[in-house]
Amino acid sequence: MIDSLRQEKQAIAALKRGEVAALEVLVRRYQLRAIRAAYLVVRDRAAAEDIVQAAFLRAYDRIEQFDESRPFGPWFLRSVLNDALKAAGRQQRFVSLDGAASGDEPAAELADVLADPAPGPEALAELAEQQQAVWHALGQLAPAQRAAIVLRYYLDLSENEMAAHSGSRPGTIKWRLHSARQRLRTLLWASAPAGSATAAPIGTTREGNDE
Amino acid sequence: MMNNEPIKRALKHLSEAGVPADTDLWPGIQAQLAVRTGARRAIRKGRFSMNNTLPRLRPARALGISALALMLVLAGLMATTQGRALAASVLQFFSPAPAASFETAPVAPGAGPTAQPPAFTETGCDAADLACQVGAAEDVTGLAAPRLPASTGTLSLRAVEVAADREWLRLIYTAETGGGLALTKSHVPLSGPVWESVPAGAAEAVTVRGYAGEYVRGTFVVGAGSAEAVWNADAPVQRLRWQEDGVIYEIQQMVGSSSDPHFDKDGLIAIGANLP
Repeated sequence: MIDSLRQEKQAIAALKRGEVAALEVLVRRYQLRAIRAAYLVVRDRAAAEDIVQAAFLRAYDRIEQFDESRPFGPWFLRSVLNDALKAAGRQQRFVSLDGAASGDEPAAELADVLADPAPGPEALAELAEQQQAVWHALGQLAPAQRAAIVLRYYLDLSENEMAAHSGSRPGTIKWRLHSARQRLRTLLWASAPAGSATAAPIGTTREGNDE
Repeated sequence: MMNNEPIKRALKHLSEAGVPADTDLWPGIQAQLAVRTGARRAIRKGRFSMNNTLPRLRPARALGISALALMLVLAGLMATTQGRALAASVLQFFSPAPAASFETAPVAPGAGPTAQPPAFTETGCDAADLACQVGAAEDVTGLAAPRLPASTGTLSLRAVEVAADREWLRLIYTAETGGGLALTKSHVPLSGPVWESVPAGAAEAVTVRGYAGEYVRGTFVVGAGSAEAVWNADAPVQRLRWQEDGVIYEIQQMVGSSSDPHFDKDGLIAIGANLP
Protein backbone atom coordinates (compact mmCIF):
# COMPACT_ATOMS: atom_id res chain seq x y z
CA MET A 1 0.00 0.00 0.00
CA ILE A 2 2.77 2.37 0.96
CA ASP A 3 4.69 1.37 -2.15
CA SER A 4 1.61 1.95 -4.20
CA LEU A 5 1.10 5.43 -2.79
CA ARG A 6 4.75 6.22 -3.29
CA GLN A 7 4.50 5.05 -6.87
CA GLU A 8 1.48 7.29 -7.33
CA LYS A 9 3.27 10.33 -5.96
CA GLN A 10 6.23 9.59 -8.17
CA ALA A 11 3.94 9.33 -11.16
CA ILE A 12 2.36 12.69 -10.41
CA ALA A 13 5.74 14.30 -9.97
CA ALA A 14 6.88 12.79 -13.26
CA LEU A 15 3.76 14.05 -14.99
CA LYS A 16 4.52 17.52 -13.74
CA ARG A 17 7.95 17.19 -15.29
CA GLY A 18 6.28 16.40 -18.59
CA GLU A 19 6.78 12.65 -18.60
CA VAL A 20 3.53 11.64 -20.19
CA ALA A 21 4.09 7.92 -19.73
CA ALA A 22 3.64 8.37 -15.98
CA LEU A 23 -0.07 8.79 -16.57
CA GLU A 24 -0.27 5.06 -17.18
CA VAL A 25 0.35 4.40 -13.49
CA LEU A 26 -2.69 6.46 -12.56
CA VAL A 27 -4.84 5.01 -15.34
CA ARG A 28 -4.01 1.45 -14.37
CA ARG A 29 -4.73 2.17 -10.76
CA TYR A 30 -8.01 4.04 -10.98
CA GLN A 31 -9.65 3.32 -14.30
CA LEU A 32 -11.78 0.36 -13.31
CA ARG A 33 -13.16 1.88 -10.15
CA ALA A 34 -13.80 5.15 -11.92
CA ILE A 35 -15.58 3.55 -14.88
CA ARG A 36 -17.73 1.44 -12.59
CA ALA A 37 -18.68 4.40 -10.45
CA ALA A 38 -19.56 6.44 -13.53
CA TYR A 39 -21.46 3.48 -14.94
CA LEU A 40 -23.68 3.35 -11.87
CA VAL A 41 -24.60 6.97 -12.46
CA VAL A 42 -24.93 7.16 -16.25
CA ARG A 43 -26.01 3.51 -16.63
CA ASP A 44 -24.20 3.12 -19.94
CA ARG A 45 -20.83 1.47 -20.18
CA ALA A 46 -19.61 3.31 -23.28
CA ALA A 47 -20.63 6.64 -21.82
CA ALA A 48 -18.89 5.79 -18.56
CA GLU A 49 -15.69 4.91 -20.39
CA ASP A 50 -15.83 8.14 -22.33
CA ILE A 51 -16.29 10.13 -19.15
CA VAL A 52 -13.35 8.50 -17.42
CA GLN A 53 -11.08 8.77 -20.41
CA ALA A 54 -11.86 12.46 -20.70
CA ALA A 55 -11.26 12.86 -16.97
CA PHE A 56 -7.82 11.31 -17.24
CA LEU A 57 -6.94 13.60 -20.13
CA ARG A 58 -8.19 16.58 -18.17
CA ALA A 59 -6.21 15.50 -15.14
CA TYR A 60 -3.16 15.36 -17.38
CA ASP A 61 -3.89 18.81 -18.73
CA ARG A 62 -4.29 20.25 -15.24
CA ILE A 63 -1.73 18.24 -13.35
CA GLU A 64 0.26 21.40 -12.68
CA GLN A 65 -2.59 22.62 -10.53
CA PHE A 66 -2.82 19.43 -8.52
CA ASP A 67 -1.64 19.64 -4.93
CA GLU A 68 0.70 16.71 -4.49
CA SER A 69 0.17 16.68 -0.77
CA ARG A 70 -3.35 15.44 -1.36
CA PRO A 71 -4.27 11.95 -2.50
CA PHE A 72 -5.01 11.71 -6.20
CA GLY A 73 -7.69 9.03 -6.03
CA PRO A 74 -10.49 10.80 -4.17
CA TRP A 75 -9.89 13.99 -6.13
CA PHE A 76 -10.02 12.14 -9.42
CA LEU A 77 -12.98 9.92 -8.57
CA ARG A 78 -15.03 12.86 -7.39
CA SER A 79 -14.32 14.70 -10.63
CA VAL A 80 -15.43 11.62 -12.54
CA LEU A 81 -18.65 11.53 -10.56
CA ASN A 82 -19.21 15.20 -11.27
CA ASP A 83 -18.86 14.54 -14.98
CA ALA A 84 -21.11 11.51 -14.74
CA LEU A 85 -23.66 13.61 -12.93
CA LYS A 86 -23.61 16.20 -15.70
CA ALA A 87 -23.92 13.51 -18.34
CA ALA A 88 -26.77 11.86 -16.51
CA GLY A 89 -28.43 15.23 -16.08
CA ARG A 90 -28.41 15.67 -19.81
CA GLN A 91 -30.02 12.28 -20.21
CA GLN A 92 -32.57 12.78 -17.48
CA ARG A 93 -35.76 14.35 -18.67
CA PHE A 94 -38.44 13.49 -16.25
CA VAL A 95 -37.19 12.97 -12.72
CA SER A 96 -37.18 15.92 -10.43
CA LEU A 97 -33.89 16.71 -8.78
CA ASP A 98 -35.78 16.86 -5.53
CA GLY A 99 -37.10 13.36 -6.03
CA ALA A 100 -39.95 12.27 -3.88
CA ALA A 101 -38.39 12.96 -0.54
CA SER A 102 -38.65 15.92 1.69
CA GLY A 103 -36.46 16.88 4.55
CA ASP A 104 -38.87 15.84 7.24
CA GLU A 105 -39.41 12.32 6.05
CA PRO A 106 -38.51 9.48 8.36
CA ALA A 107 -34.88 8.61 8.62
CA ALA A 108 -35.20 5.04 7.47
CA GLU A 109 -31.94 3.74 6.11
CA LEU A 110 -31.57 2.57 2.60
CA ALA A 111 -30.09 -0.67 3.74
CA ASP A 112 -33.26 -1.43 5.58
CA VAL A 113 -35.05 -1.88 2.32
CA LEU A 114 -32.90 -4.76 1.40
CA ALA A 115 -32.99 -7.82 3.48
CA ASP A 116 -29.42 -8.80 3.93
CA PRO A 117 -29.10 -11.91 1.81
CA ALA A 118 -26.78 -14.23 3.55
CA PRO A 119 -24.87 -15.75 0.71
CA GLY A 120 -26.44 -19.14 1.10
CA PRO A 121 -27.74 -21.11 -1.85
CA GLU A 122 -31.34 -20.05 -1.41
CA ALA A 123 -30.42 -16.43 -1.22
CA LEU A 124 -28.38 -16.36 -4.40
CA ALA A 125 -31.29 -16.31 -6.83
CA GLU A 126 -32.99 -13.75 -4.70
CA LEU A 127 -29.84 -11.67 -4.69
CA ALA A 128 -29.90 -11.50 -8.48
CA GLU A 129 -33.47 -10.30 -8.35
CA GLN A 130 -32.59 -7.74 -5.73
CA GLN A 131 -29.78 -6.43 -7.85
CA GLN A 132 -32.10 -5.99 -10.76
CA ALA A 133 -34.51 -4.21 -8.48
CA VAL A 134 -31.76 -1.97 -7.18
CA TRP A 135 -30.59 -1.28 -10.74
CA HIS A 136 -34.09 -0.39 -11.80
CA ALA A 137 -34.68 1.76 -8.74
CA LEU A 138 -31.38 3.57 -9.19
CA GLY A 139 -32.49 4.44 -12.68
CA GLN A 140 -35.55 6.10 -11.29
CA LEU A 141 -33.55 8.39 -9.03
CA ALA A 142 -32.60 11.89 -10.03
CA PRO A 143 -28.97 12.01 -11.22
CA ALA A 144 -27.90 13.98 -8.17
CA GLN A 145 -29.41 11.41 -5.88
CA ARG A 146 -27.84 8.58 -7.83
CA ALA A 147 -24.45 10.24 -7.64
CA ALA A 148 -24.85 10.75 -3.91
CA ILE A 149 -25.61 7.05 -3.45
CA VAL A 150 -22.58 6.05 -5.51
CA LEU A 151 -20.25 8.45 -3.72
CA ARG A 152 -21.38 7.28 -0.33
CA TYR A 153 -21.95 3.57 -0.83
CA TYR A 154 -19.76 2.62 -3.76
CA LEU A 155 -16.79 4.94 -3.34
CA ASP A 156 -17.16 4.98 0.44
CA LEU A 157 -16.77 8.71 0.83
CA SER A 158 -17.86 10.11 4.15
CA GLU A 159 -20.50 12.79 4.28
CA ASN A 160 -17.83 15.27 5.30
CA GLU A 161 -15.70 14.32 2.29
CA MET A 162 -18.69 14.69 0.02
CA ALA A 163 -19.40 18.08 1.51
CA ALA A 164 -15.82 19.22 1.15
CA HIS A 165 -15.77 18.28 -2.49
CA SER A 166 -19.08 19.79 -3.47
CA GLY A 167 -18.65 22.94 -1.44
CA SER A 168 -21.91 22.16 0.33
CA ARG A 169 -22.51 22.10 4.04
CA PRO A 170 -22.48 18.67 5.66
CA GLY A 171 -26.10 19.18 6.57
CA THR A 172 -26.97 19.62 2.93
CA ILE A 173 -25.16 16.45 2.01
CA LYS A 174 -26.84 14.60 4.84
CA TRP A 175 -30.21 15.75 3.58
CA ARG A 176 -29.38 14.85 0.00
CA LEU A 177 -28.31 11.38 1.02
CA HIS A 178 -31.34 10.98 3.17
CA SER A 179 -33.67 11.97 0.37
CA ALA A 180 -31.88 9.63 -2.01
CA ARG A 181 -32.16 6.77 0.42
CA GLN A 182 -35.78 7.55 1.05
CA ARG A 183 -36.60 7.71 -2.62
CA LEU A 184 -34.74 4.49 -3.31
CA ARG A 185 -36.52 2.80 -0.46
CA THR A 186 -39.88 3.87 -1.80
CA LEU A 187 -39.04 2.65 -5.27
CA LEU A 188 -37.79 -0.70 -4.05
CA TRP A 189 -40.73 -1.16 -1.83
CA ALA A 190 -43.15 -0.35 -4.64
CA SER A 191 -41.44 -2.73 -7.03
CA ALA A 192 -41.25 -5.67 -4.65
CA PRO A 193 -43.67 -8.56 -5.17
CA ALA A 194 -46.44 -8.73 -2.60
CA GLY A 195 -45.35 -10.68 0.41
CA SER A 196 -41.71 -10.28 -0.45
CA ALA A 197 -39.46 -9.96 2.51
CA THR A 198 -36.68 -8.53 0.46
CA ALA A 199 -38.04 -5.13 -0.28
CA ALA A 200 -40.34 -4.24 2.51
CA PRO A 201 -38.75 -1.97 5.04
CA ILE A 202 -38.16 -3.62 8.32
CA GLY A 203 -41.02 -3.01 10.69
CA THR A 204 -43.47 -2.03 7.98
CA THR A 205 -45.98 -3.71 5.77
CA ARG A 206 -46.43 -3.02 2.10
CA GLU A 207 -49.86 -1.62 2.75
CA GLY A 208 -48.88 0.52 5.65
CA ASN A 209 -47.13 3.81 5.96
CA ASP A 210 -43.49 3.24 6.57
CA GLU A 211 -43.38 5.91 9.18
CA MET B 1 -27.78 0.27 13.83
CA MET B 2 -27.48 1.07 10.18
CA ASN B 3 -26.39 -1.78 7.94
CA ASN B 4 -25.23 -0.54 4.59
CA GLU B 5 -23.70 -3.78 3.47
CA PRO B 6 -26.61 -4.92 1.29
CA ILE B 7 -26.66 -1.80 -0.83
CA LYS B 8 -22.87 -1.73 -1.00
CA ARG B 9 -22.88 -5.31 -2.14
CA ALA B 10 -25.59 -4.66 -4.70
CA LEU B 11 -23.71 -1.68 -6.13
CA LYS B 12 -20.52 -3.69 -6.28
CA HIS B 13 -22.15 -6.57 -8.11
CA LEU B 14 -24.01 -4.31 -10.50
CA SER B 15 -20.92 -2.34 -11.39
CA GLU B 16 -18.85 -5.48 -11.88
CA ALA B 17 -21.52 -7.00 -14.09
CA GLY B 18 -21.69 -3.86 -16.20
CA VAL B 19 -17.98 -3.16 -16.51
CA PRO B 20 -15.74 -6.22 -16.91
CA ALA B 21 -12.41 -6.26 -15.13
CA ASP B 22 -10.48 -6.41 -18.41
CA THR B 23 -11.69 -2.97 -19.47
CA ASP B 24 -8.68 -0.88 -20.40
CA LEU B 25 -8.71 2.77 -21.38
CA TRP B 26 -4.96 3.18 -21.64
CA PRO B 27 -4.59 2.45 -25.38
CA GLY B 28 -7.24 5.02 -26.20
CA ILE B 29 -5.72 7.57 -23.85
CA GLN B 30 -2.33 6.97 -25.39
CA ALA B 31 -3.74 7.53 -28.85
CA GLN B 32 -5.18 10.86 -27.79
CA LEU B 33 -2.08 11.95 -25.93
CA ALA B 34 0.08 11.03 -28.88
CA VAL B 35 -1.71 13.68 -30.83
CA ARG B 36 -2.67 16.16 -28.15
CA THR B 37 0.75 16.67 -26.71
CA GLY B 38 2.03 17.74 -30.04
CA ALA B 39 4.69 15.12 -29.61
CA ARG B 40 2.72 12.50 -31.51
CA ARG B 41 5.58 10.24 -30.83
CA ALA B 42 4.28 6.77 -30.56
CA ILE B 43 1.65 4.63 -29.10
CA ARG B 44 2.82 1.66 -27.21
CA LYS B 45 1.07 -1.09 -25.49
CA GLY B 46 2.47 -1.76 -22.08
CA ARG B 47 5.29 0.13 -20.47
CA PHE B 48 6.26 2.96 -22.63
CA SER B 49 7.98 6.25 -22.62
CA MET B 50 5.91 8.50 -24.80
CA ASN B 51 7.99 11.50 -24.07
CA ASN B 52 6.83 14.86 -25.14
CA THR B 53 10.26 16.23 -24.73
CA LEU B 54 11.77 15.55 -28.10
CA PRO B 55 13.30 18.70 -29.43
CA ARG B 56 11.51 20.18 -32.37
CA LEU B 57 13.96 21.02 -35.10
CA ARG B 58 14.25 24.64 -35.85
CA PRO B 59 12.23 25.19 -38.99
CA ALA B 60 15.07 26.31 -41.19
CA ARG B 61 17.20 23.37 -40.17
CA ALA B 62 14.27 21.06 -40.27
CA LEU B 63 13.46 22.21 -43.74
CA GLY B 64 16.99 21.52 -44.86
CA ILE B 65 17.07 18.10 -43.29
CA SER B 66 13.66 17.25 -44.62
CA ALA B 67 14.67 18.33 -48.09
CA LEU B 68 17.84 16.27 -47.87
CA ALA B 69 15.97 13.28 -46.56
CA LEU B 70 13.40 13.67 -49.27
CA MET B 71 16.08 13.79 -51.94
CA LEU B 72 17.80 10.70 -50.56
CA VAL B 73 14.56 8.80 -50.35
CA LEU B 74 13.60 9.84 -53.83
CA ALA B 75 16.98 8.87 -55.20
CA GLY B 76 16.62 5.43 -53.70
CA LEU B 77 13.07 5.01 -54.76
CA MET B 78 13.57 6.09 -58.31
CA ALA B 79 16.12 3.36 -58.77
CA THR B 80 13.40 0.72 -58.68
CA THR B 81 10.28 0.03 -60.66
CA GLN B 82 8.27 0.12 -57.47
CA GLY B 83 9.90 3.38 -56.57
CA ARG B 84 8.97 4.93 -59.85
CA ALA B 85 5.38 3.91 -59.22
CA LEU B 86 5.46 5.37 -55.73
CA ALA B 87 6.89 8.59 -57.02
CA ALA B 88 3.48 9.33 -58.44
CA SER B 89 2.25 9.76 -54.87
CA VAL B 90 5.25 11.60 -53.47
CA LEU B 91 4.60 13.56 -50.31
CA GLN B 92 4.40 17.30 -50.68
CA PHE B 93 3.31 18.38 -47.22
CA PHE B 94 4.43 15.56 -44.94
CA SER B 95 7.89 14.32 -44.15
CA PRO B 96 8.46 10.97 -45.81
CA ALA B 97 9.05 8.08 -43.46
CA PRO B 98 12.17 6.05 -44.06
CA ALA B 99 9.93 2.99 -44.44
CA ALA B 100 6.64 1.56 -43.32
CA SER B 101 8.52 0.51 -40.19
CA PHE B 102 11.77 1.60 -38.63
CA GLU B 103 13.87 1.07 -35.57
CA THR B 104 13.32 3.52 -32.77
CA ALA B 105 16.06 5.04 -30.71
CA PRO B 106 15.86 5.86 -27.03
CA VAL B 107 15.12 9.47 -26.42
CA ALA B 108 16.84 11.40 -23.69
CA PRO B 109 14.33 12.88 -21.25
CA GLY B 110 14.30 16.55 -20.62
CA ALA B 111 15.54 17.40 -24.07
CA GLY B 112 13.19 20.30 -24.26
CA PRO B 113 9.60 20.97 -25.11
CA THR B 114 8.32 20.64 -28.64
CA ALA B 115 6.68 24.01 -28.59
CA GLN B 116 6.41 26.82 -26.17
CA PRO B 117 3.60 29.28 -25.99
CA PRO B 118 4.59 32.84 -26.63
CA ALA B 119 5.30 34.98 -23.62
CA PHE B 120 1.68 35.77 -23.11
CA THR B 121 2.38 37.10 -19.67
CA GLU B 122 4.55 39.72 -21.29
CA THR B 123 1.67 40.73 -23.45
CA GLY B 124 -0.61 41.01 -20.47
CA CYS B 125 -2.72 37.93 -21.11
CA ASP B 126 -4.15 36.04 -18.23
CA ALA B 127 -3.36 32.34 -18.39
CA ALA B 128 -7.06 31.54 -18.59
CA ASP B 129 -7.86 34.22 -21.14
CA LEU B 130 -7.67 32.24 -24.35
CA ALA B 131 -9.13 35.01 -26.48
CA CYS B 132 -6.31 37.27 -25.37
CA GLN B 133 -3.80 34.51 -26.05
CA VAL B 134 -5.14 34.03 -29.56
CA GLY B 135 -4.65 37.73 -30.19
CA ALA B 136 -1.15 37.59 -28.77
CA ALA B 137 -0.34 34.57 -30.90
CA GLU B 138 -1.54 36.39 -33.99
CA ASP B 139 0.59 39.39 -33.08
CA VAL B 140 3.80 37.45 -32.59
CA THR B 141 3.42 35.21 -35.62
CA GLY B 142 1.74 37.61 -38.00
CA LEU B 143 -0.76 34.88 -38.87
CA ALA B 144 -4.52 35.05 -38.63
CA ALA B 145 -5.52 32.39 -36.14
CA PRO B 146 -7.35 29.43 -37.68
CA ARG B 147 -10.49 29.80 -35.60
CA LEU B 148 -12.97 27.00 -35.91
CA PRO B 149 -16.29 27.87 -37.51
CA ALA B 150 -19.14 28.00 -35.02
CA SER B 151 -20.90 25.30 -37.01
CA THR B 152 -18.52 22.67 -35.68
CA GLY B 153 -20.65 22.48 -32.58
CA THR B 154 -19.44 21.07 -29.32
CA LEU B 155 -15.73 21.76 -29.65
CA SER B 156 -14.28 24.43 -27.41
CA LEU B 157 -10.98 26.25 -27.63
CA ARG B 158 -8.69 24.60 -25.10
CA ALA B 159 -5.19 25.86 -25.80
CA VAL B 160 -3.10 28.14 -27.94
CA GLU B 161 0.43 27.17 -28.97
CA VAL B 162 3.11 29.13 -30.76
CA ALA B 163 6.46 27.84 -31.95
CA ALA B 164 9.42 29.11 -30.01
CA ASP B 165 10.66 30.82 -33.15
CA ARG B 166 7.20 32.27 -33.81
CA GLU B 167 6.94 30.55 -37.17
CA TRP B 168 3.62 28.86 -36.50
CA LEU B 169 0.61 29.02 -34.27
CA ARG B 170 -1.88 26.34 -33.31
CA LEU B 171 -5.33 26.40 -31.79
CA ILE B 172 -6.50 23.25 -30.04
CA TYR B 173 -10.21 22.63 -29.76
CA THR B 174 -11.53 19.75 -27.69
CA ALA B 175 -14.84 18.21 -26.76
CA GLU B 176 -15.79 17.22 -23.24
CA THR B 177 -14.84 13.68 -24.14
CA GLY B 178 -11.29 14.75 -24.85
CA GLY B 179 -11.07 14.44 -28.62
CA GLY B 180 -10.98 17.36 -30.96
CA LEU B 181 -9.08 19.25 -33.58
CA ALA B 182 -5.70 20.97 -33.70
CA LEU B 183 -5.56 23.74 -36.29
CA THR B 184 -2.16 25.02 -37.31
CA LYS B 185 -0.91 27.76 -39.62
CA SER B 186 2.74 28.10 -40.40
CA HIS B 187 5.13 30.29 -42.35
CA VAL B 188 7.37 27.28 -42.96
CA PRO B 189 6.76 23.65 -43.90
CA LEU B 190 5.70 21.69 -40.86
CA SER B 191 8.31 19.23 -39.82
CA GLY B 192 8.93 17.11 -36.81
CA PRO B 193 10.42 13.90 -35.54
CA VAL B 194 10.25 10.73 -37.51
CA TRP B 195 7.10 9.74 -35.63
CA GLU B 196 5.24 12.38 -37.56
CA SER B 197 6.50 11.24 -40.92
CA VAL B 198 4.30 9.41 -43.38
CA PRO B 199 5.15 6.36 -45.46
CA ALA B 200 4.99 6.59 -49.22
CA GLY B 201 1.54 5.91 -50.48
CA ALA B 202 -0.20 6.77 -47.21
CA ALA B 203 -1.05 10.31 -48.25
CA GLU B 204 -3.96 11.07 -50.51
CA ALA B 205 -3.94 14.10 -52.76
CA VAL B 206 -6.88 16.41 -52.07
CA THR B 207 -8.01 19.91 -52.90
CA VAL B 208 -8.92 22.39 -50.20
CA ARG B 209 -10.73 25.50 -51.42
CA GLY B 210 -8.93 25.21 -54.71
CA TYR B 211 -5.44 24.57 -53.33
CA ALA B 212 -3.54 21.31 -53.52
CA GLY B 213 -3.20 19.42 -50.27
CA GLU B 214 -2.70 16.00 -48.74
CA TYR B 215 -4.77 13.90 -46.37
CA VAL B 216 -3.30 11.18 -44.15
CA ARG B 217 -4.96 8.77 -41.79
CA GLY B 218 -2.79 6.74 -39.41
CA THR B 219 0.35 7.05 -37.36
CA PHE B 220 3.38 5.05 -36.32
CA VAL B 221 2.83 2.63 -33.48
CA VAL B 222 5.39 0.93 -31.28
CA GLY B 223 4.48 -2.35 -29.67
CA ALA B 224 5.32 -3.26 -26.10
CA GLY B 225 8.93 -4.24 -25.73
CA SER B 226 9.57 -3.52 -29.36
CA ALA B 227 12.06 -1.12 -30.81
CA GLU B 228 10.28 -1.06 -34.11
CA ALA B 229 7.75 1.57 -35.10
CA VAL B 230 5.16 0.28 -37.52
CA TRP B 231 2.73 2.34 -39.54
CA ASN B 232 -0.87 1.79 -38.45
CA ALA B 233 -3.27 3.12 -41.04
CA ASP B 234 -6.22 2.46 -38.75
CA ALA B 235 -4.99 4.60 -35.85
CA PRO B 236 -7.50 7.33 -35.04
CA VAL B 237 -5.27 10.15 -36.21
CA GLN B 238 -6.10 12.15 -39.31
CA ARG B 239 -4.12 15.02 -40.79
CA LEU B 240 -4.93 17.38 -43.60
CA ARG B 241 -2.35 19.84 -44.94
CA TRP B 242 -2.37 22.32 -47.74
CA GLN B 243 -0.72 25.58 -48.71
CA GLU B 244 -2.21 28.94 -49.59
CA ASP B 245 -0.21 31.98 -50.54
CA GLY B 246 2.89 30.75 -48.78
CA VAL B 247 1.10 29.75 -45.59
CA ILE B 248 0.89 26.07 -44.61
CA TYR B 249 -2.34 24.91 -43.00
CA GLU B 250 -2.84 21.75 -40.99
CA ILE B 251 -5.98 20.27 -39.48
CA GLN B 252 -5.41 17.33 -37.23
CA GLN B 253 -8.19 15.29 -35.76
CA MET B 254 -7.86 13.55 -32.42
CA VAL B 255 -10.37 10.79 -31.75
CA GLY B 256 -10.09 8.70 -28.66
CA SER B 257 -13.63 7.78 -27.77
CA SER B 258 -16.82 6.94 -29.57
CA SER B 259 -18.41 10.12 -28.29
CA ASP B 260 -15.84 12.43 -29.79
CA PRO B 261 -16.98 14.52 -32.70
CA HIS B 262 -15.82 12.69 -35.77
CA PHE B 263 -14.98 14.22 -39.10
CA ASP B 264 -14.00 12.13 -42.07
CA LYS B 265 -11.77 13.34 -44.85
CA ASP B 266 -14.52 15.37 -46.47
CA GLY B 267 -15.49 16.80 -43.09
CA LEU B 268 -11.95 18.01 -42.48
CA ILE B 269 -11.81 19.51 -45.95
CA ALA B 270 -15.09 21.29 -45.27
CA ILE B 271 -13.67 22.73 -42.06
CA GLY B 272 -10.59 23.82 -43.93
CA ALA B 273 -12.74 25.58 -46.48
CA ASN B 274 -14.06 27.88 -43.77
CA LEU B 275 -10.89 28.73 -41.89
CA PRO B 276 -9.65 32.30 -41.88
